[in-house]
Amino acid sequence: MEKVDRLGWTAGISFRVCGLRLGVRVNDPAVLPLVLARLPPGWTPLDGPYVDMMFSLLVGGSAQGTRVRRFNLVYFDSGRLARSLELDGALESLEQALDFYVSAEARTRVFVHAGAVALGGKALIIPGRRNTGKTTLVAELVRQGAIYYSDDHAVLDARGRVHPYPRPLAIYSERMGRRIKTTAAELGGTDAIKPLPVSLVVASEYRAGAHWRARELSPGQAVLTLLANTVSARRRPEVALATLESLVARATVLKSVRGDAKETASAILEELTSR
Amino acid sequence: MKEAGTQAPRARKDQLIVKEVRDEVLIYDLKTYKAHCLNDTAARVWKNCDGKRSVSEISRQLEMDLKTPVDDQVVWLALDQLGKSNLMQGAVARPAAFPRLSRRDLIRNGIAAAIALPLVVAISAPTAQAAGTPISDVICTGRHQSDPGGCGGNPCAPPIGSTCINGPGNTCKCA
Repeated sequence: MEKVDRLGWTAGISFRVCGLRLGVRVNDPAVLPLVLARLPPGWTPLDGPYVDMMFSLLVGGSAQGTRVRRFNLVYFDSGRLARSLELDGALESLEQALDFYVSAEARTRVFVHAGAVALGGKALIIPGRRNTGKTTLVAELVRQGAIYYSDDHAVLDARGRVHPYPRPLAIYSERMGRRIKTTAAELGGTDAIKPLPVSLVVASEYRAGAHWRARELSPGQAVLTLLANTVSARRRPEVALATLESLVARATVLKSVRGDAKETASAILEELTSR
Repeated sequence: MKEAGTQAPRARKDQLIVKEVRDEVLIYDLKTYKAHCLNDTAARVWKNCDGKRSVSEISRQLEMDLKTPVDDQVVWLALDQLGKSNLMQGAVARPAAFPRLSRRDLIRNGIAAAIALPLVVAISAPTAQAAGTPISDVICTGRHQSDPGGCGGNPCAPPIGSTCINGPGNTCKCA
């Protein structure tokens, strides 16, 4: 038994998501509802006690009879992943660790680093690494009427359909100097509830003052563009390639630089509805 | 420019995942974690590199398949790109009669008017972390170098463009 297993866990949940069996345990039952709110979208409870990976949250609180605050600790398997004096910080770490693990290890889905929305029964994904302005564009698309799937991961099945993974959008606020979690409802939109075939892929990077001028990529180059943003590309290249191949067989893949998010969102939604 | 080729280039086949996507061929290299997209011309050259046929014979095969004249220089250009992408077995020595020409040279000399010039585009498959979600400064500084996975190397946001790396002592920082 590892040391971490003797820390006095009093509550927990085991669940299934994307073909994985995961568990989260806590030392304070009162925080379990907060943990449940951070679980990966689409999770379902698991009956059995056996899991592929265990995550643990040790709530620190105050030491009895003193004003000393203890760290909240997050464990991944038996190793410590993060510590924070703020419970919210620890929960954020737990959420990120769960998302990271699921995106890299998912057995029944392929996670592409991309924003995803839909309109009129057609889904659109915007692949891109960090700081390429995906979230800003996804937020604008939602403001203009698109249904929200995800701002960070396009979750694809073997048929090339995108599944909802609607974490709150992490929109950067210049006034606050940090990212603020914002739900689709707060932007006037709604979260998706069912998978849809991808009709359009937009490979686009922000450049100040640029205007939308799209060109279509060949199917091979389209797969390459998506693979460059696929989390499990190295671990399961065969599965990733097959999934992306079935996606581009039905989708149009456009590439363009873009400037103003409002102008770009209008142009993209026009492209999507015209197909 | 035609000359009896003495080379018999051989395509590498081991440790590769090969997929045909319409006219193109996608090749994933399990050794280097690189993915390559070969356009139709490059794909035809690669498929014909069986270690038996010379460059001239490959050109003639392409001529028959595409029903248009194909200069040996087009095949050499493809071989250059395929070699650079590590998709050939060993280097193919280029005869002195065939100086290295760029795509631009071929177009300028009117060598490649009827067919698309060979093109090999490559990307490196990202590590899970590189394709991962950004973490906040608070989470990065809450980590320790001695933790499993160390500081993790995840992107930090904000500040935009920074990464969670080793700080002084056992700490981690976004920089």
